[in-house]
Order: sequence, then structure tokens, then C-alpha cells
Amino acid sequence: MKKVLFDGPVEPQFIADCIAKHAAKKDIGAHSIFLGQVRADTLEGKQVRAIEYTAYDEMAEKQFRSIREAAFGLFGLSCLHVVHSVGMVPAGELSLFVFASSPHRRACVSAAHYVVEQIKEKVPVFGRELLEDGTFAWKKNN
Amino acid sequence: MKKEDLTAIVLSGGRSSRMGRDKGLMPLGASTLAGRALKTASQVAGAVMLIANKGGYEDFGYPVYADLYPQNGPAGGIHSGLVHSTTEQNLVLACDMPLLSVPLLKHLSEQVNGDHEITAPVHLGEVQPLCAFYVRHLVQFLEEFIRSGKRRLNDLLRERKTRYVPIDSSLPFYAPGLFTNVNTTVDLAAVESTDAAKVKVLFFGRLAEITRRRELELQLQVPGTLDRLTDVLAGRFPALKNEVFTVAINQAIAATGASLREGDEVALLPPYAGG
Repeated sequence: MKKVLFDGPVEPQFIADCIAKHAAKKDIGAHSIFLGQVRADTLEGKQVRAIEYTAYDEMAEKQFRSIREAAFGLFGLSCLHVVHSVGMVPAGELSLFVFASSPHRRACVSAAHYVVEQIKEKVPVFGRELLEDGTFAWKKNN
Repeated sequence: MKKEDLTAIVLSGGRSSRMGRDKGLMPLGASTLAGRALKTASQVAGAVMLIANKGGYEDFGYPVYADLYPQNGPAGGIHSGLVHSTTEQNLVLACDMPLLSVPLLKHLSEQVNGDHEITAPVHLGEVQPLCAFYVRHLVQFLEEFIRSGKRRLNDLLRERKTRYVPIDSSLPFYAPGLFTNVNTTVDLAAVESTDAAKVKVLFFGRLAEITRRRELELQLQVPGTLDRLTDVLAGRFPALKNEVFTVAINQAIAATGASLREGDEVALLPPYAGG
């Protein structure tokens, strides 16, 4: 399986190319795509300019693999692709790409939702928010 | 032999000339040399006593006696121990052999019988009188032995009914270092390093900032547990006590009370921010 962690933001063109590649898979009837974007939150009056992601690489890849296996087991998927950014991702750009495909719509919608929730809960990725004044604040999922 | 029929006499009365400081009180892992010997002894003997000629041994919680005939080396210590013992059989243990194990002592105790006055192990051709069983009635003979100027324990063993028990690799608990003797701080360091499990600790996110490290190698006293490791880390990096984190061992979230082995990779993980 390909590595999930990817250096830098996910480029929109990459997403478009991924969709185009799946035209060849004739058994697919639906795709569900989730995109995580860095939001320009305001923390103590300061705007978030970017998030710098770091990860416990080996364990993160292991967790991604097991989430993928679970998703295939739980839902009737044809395909699943996940890309998560590491490094600096500016506000407004994409840090997570989940692309699930299935013959019928319900499976891929449920699977995409499942995968995103599992990633937030199980994958050791850490984030520092870079604020407009150049300082950093550690981010926590909720 | 039943535990209640055995007294352990832990000897820590030596001059420790090469160590520079009282050998028995030298730290070993989370304890001291004497502490380790006492802990081992208390697992096989119902009564335990310490023979020491300097202060500092009162806090172990065992009776401490001095040599009645000082400056006579271990023979004086054994004599003093036998005087204070209330049991027939007595296990004499030197505090400077930290790798003596409970299975070894149990094996030796099984070889003790009424035909012999002393039961001592032999390892690689060397007799080990300071990990041996002595009957109490030897106290009289020992007194004469000392007063006649004799001190060498091997002579004592030769003059009495001694059973020699070979200790070799045919025994399930055998380890070549069982009788390792610690005389210098270098010896002690060598024992500590064989006695410890080396683990790699990884810090992430905020924790790496606080400790100013991404990774650290630690020697953890065997048997090592996660709780012990977190205690050691909190001792070294007090700011960690205020932090919330989960722990992974070899890339899987660890259960509380998990034990650690040589070569384990332990990761301290602050709250996730992925997705």
C-alpha cells in the first residue's frame, strides 16, 4: 500500500487526477470525497496562518493501514485512498484527502465518514498552529 | 527446608577499601547492594539479619549486628550472625554479589541435609563460601578458628563436614554471572548495565518541546514497567507531570501496567491533531 503521509498541502490537481484515473473502473457507481482544509481560526485575537503537521511516522502508517482494512471489512468498497499532509499547510489549503468508491452510494459515504473519524481518533499526527505574530500554539482534536 | 526454619545472614561489614564508600550502601538500580541482598534473602528465609560495622543500615527494617570479633573479615561476620540466630540452618549471603538468584538459593537449600554442617556452591572450580548454608552449632568452632588467627573461609570449609554443590549450565536457572562479585564502582556499573533493559523513548509534539528532545535512550532496571519508566521520566523532566499524553510501546497503544523489554520503543504521544 502506498504511504499516506505526504509532504506539504494536498494539491487540488492531485484530487482531479485521482478522480480521472477512476473512470477506468467500471464497477464504481459512486465516490465520496472528504477534504480537510486548514481553517483560519482566531486564537486569543490572533489569526492562524498555517498548521505545521508532524507525525509518529511508522505508527501513523500502521494505523492508516488498519483503518483501511477495517473500512474494507465494514463497507462494500471498491477503492479507498487517503492522503494526509505533514509539514506546513497554509490556511485555506488542504491537509487531508479521503476518497472512497463503491458500486452503490451508501457504502462510500459511510466509509468516508468512518475513515475521517478514525483518523482523528487513532492516528498519531500532531499539529502546531502558526499564528499571525509568528508564535505557535499546539492544536488538539475535539 | 521450610522458610521458617532458615535464617539469612547478610554480610555487609567489610571495609570496602576499593570502593571508597561503604559497599553495601552503594546504589544499584532503584535500591542498594545491601537492599538487593536483603530482598533476595527474604524470599527464601523466614528470619533475616544484617551484619554491619558502620551506620546507615537501620532503615532496612531488619536487625543489624556488628562483628563480635572485628577485623576478621567475613569469618567474623558469620560468627556474629550465628550467635544471634535462632535456627539450625543459616544462609550466609555477601551483599556484594548482586546477581545471586532465588532459584539458585532454593536449589542449594534442597541440597542441605543432616550429614553436613556446611553446604556451599562450587562454580567454575571456585568455592563460594559467601553464598552457603552453615549450621548454628559451628559458632563454637568459628570462635576458636578466629581466635587462633585463622580467617580464610575455604580453610573453615575444609576443616568441617562440607557438602560442595556444583553449579553449572545443566541447571535450569544457571547464568554465568550468578556469582559476580562487585568490588569497584566499575564492577557496579557493569552489573547495572547487564541488569537493565535498554529502551528508546520518543517524544512528540509539545512533549518534544518541553523535554527539548525527540528521542532518548534509557536503561531501565529489570523487570521494567511502564509506570517505572514514566516515574523516571517525570523525575528527569518534571514539567512532564503537568502534561496529558498516551503511551505507545512498539507502535501500539500500551495498557496500564505493561512491562518493558530490552529494545522496546516507547513513544509519548500528546493529544492528536490529525484529520
